[in-house]
Amino acid sequence: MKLYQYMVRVFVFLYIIFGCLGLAMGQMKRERVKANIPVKAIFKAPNILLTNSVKNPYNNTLYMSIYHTFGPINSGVKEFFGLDVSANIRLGLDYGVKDRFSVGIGRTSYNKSIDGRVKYTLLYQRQNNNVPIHLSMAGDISINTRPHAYQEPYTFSDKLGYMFMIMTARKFSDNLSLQISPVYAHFNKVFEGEKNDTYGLIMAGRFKLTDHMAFAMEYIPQINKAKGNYNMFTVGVNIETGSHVFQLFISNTEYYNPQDILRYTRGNFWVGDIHFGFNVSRVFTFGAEGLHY
Amino acid sequence: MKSMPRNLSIIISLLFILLLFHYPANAQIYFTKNGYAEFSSQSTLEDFTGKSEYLTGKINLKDSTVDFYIDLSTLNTGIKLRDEHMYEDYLEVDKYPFASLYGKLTGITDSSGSDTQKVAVKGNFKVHGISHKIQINGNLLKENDRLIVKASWPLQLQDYKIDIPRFLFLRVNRTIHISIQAELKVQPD
Repeated sequence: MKLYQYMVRVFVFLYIIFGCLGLAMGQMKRERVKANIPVKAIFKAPNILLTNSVKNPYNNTLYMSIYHTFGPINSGVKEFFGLDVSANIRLGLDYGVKDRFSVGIGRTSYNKSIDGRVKYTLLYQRQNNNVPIHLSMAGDISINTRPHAYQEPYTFSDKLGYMFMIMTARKFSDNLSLQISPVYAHFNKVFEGEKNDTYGLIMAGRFKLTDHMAFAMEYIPQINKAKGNYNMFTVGVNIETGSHVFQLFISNTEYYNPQDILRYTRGNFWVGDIHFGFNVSRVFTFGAEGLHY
Repeated sequence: MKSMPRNLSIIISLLFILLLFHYPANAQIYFTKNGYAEFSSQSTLEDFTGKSEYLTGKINLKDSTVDFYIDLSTLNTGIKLRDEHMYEDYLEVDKYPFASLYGKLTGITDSSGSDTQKVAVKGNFKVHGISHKIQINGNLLKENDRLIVKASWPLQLQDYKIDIPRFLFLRVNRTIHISIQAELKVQPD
């Protein structure tokens, strides 16, 4: 074949190829809108399992929650693996005053404690990564209302406990969100051997298994543990069904308020000092169009 | 090597020129990035509408192709918690971020600046990873440098394997009404 014949064929070939490409290129490349808007659904609820998540209830949204933890599973069949033992129950309400700010109250049956809490979101992770993390702060004050909480004489302020934490979290993918929260707790009065001030670092995360279910865990290495205390460790699942969030877990603590967790976690998870627990949260939204439930 | 005959050089040059000018002139292509799209659901318990202003569309009058798509995570129903459930649980936006329509425009006459014309698009509508051939009827107004399009059509959620929300929070009709409205500008060369 002569060179020019060959060249003609190459051009005809190229013409056909580019012609076809021209047709195929009719469809535009699909591009996500990467707006400077907050990443949604970093966690399903304002709590991960036992402790706060970085997420605040949205404006005009109310979470009504009932948390239970039962007795130790290693109490054996005699106590039906802890279910016979009276559970620690926290009834709570958390309300989103603004998208960034929520207030909550709760009552915990152990110590008959009543607590009030606030959470404020400083930063939202942005879709375009202008802000790479969520950042929130939370505070909680609890009052031990049990009669004879301490040996007489003691004052009202002796019954108070406080907690302050800073939460940072990032949604790495649709499935994976991780959170790290330094936490400080203080009790005005404690028993001998306990500490007034405790510090911890809450490491928590969730991994979505299906659209409605996620694996979640929490671990709190405590920096200055009192003797006989253990680092809190909780594993469980979050199940979300539109207006309910169910959380089932096992943990080495029976407490909910972070100050109580830091003070009272005395079970060794690895030898079976664990408790079964479950939380139910019901979500209500009071929108412009009325109540949504 | 023998030199190439002159007439063949001309043919090759012509082919080359043809190659360069194959693509239609841009004056026939109209485009927008901020068209309006909404869906609405009517049920006995609750009506709601989701809206977005990020509809991207391209209409090529030369070959009559219509190409529209939207990032579903820009849909806003006015209640953030409901949006969250919609993206995560029903539309699965992270897996299937777009709804798109790609097809051929029929019924358009060439007259510019005339009244609104009734047109139709035959093509594939894709959402939630599932594509179906549909025909959509709409209105088109052609002016010198822009096209104004309007269309609406019903969508059966089960055709696209979108779970009909069983939970109270989202009370959705099986049939969703979609409507779009966009002003496409002629693309500058």
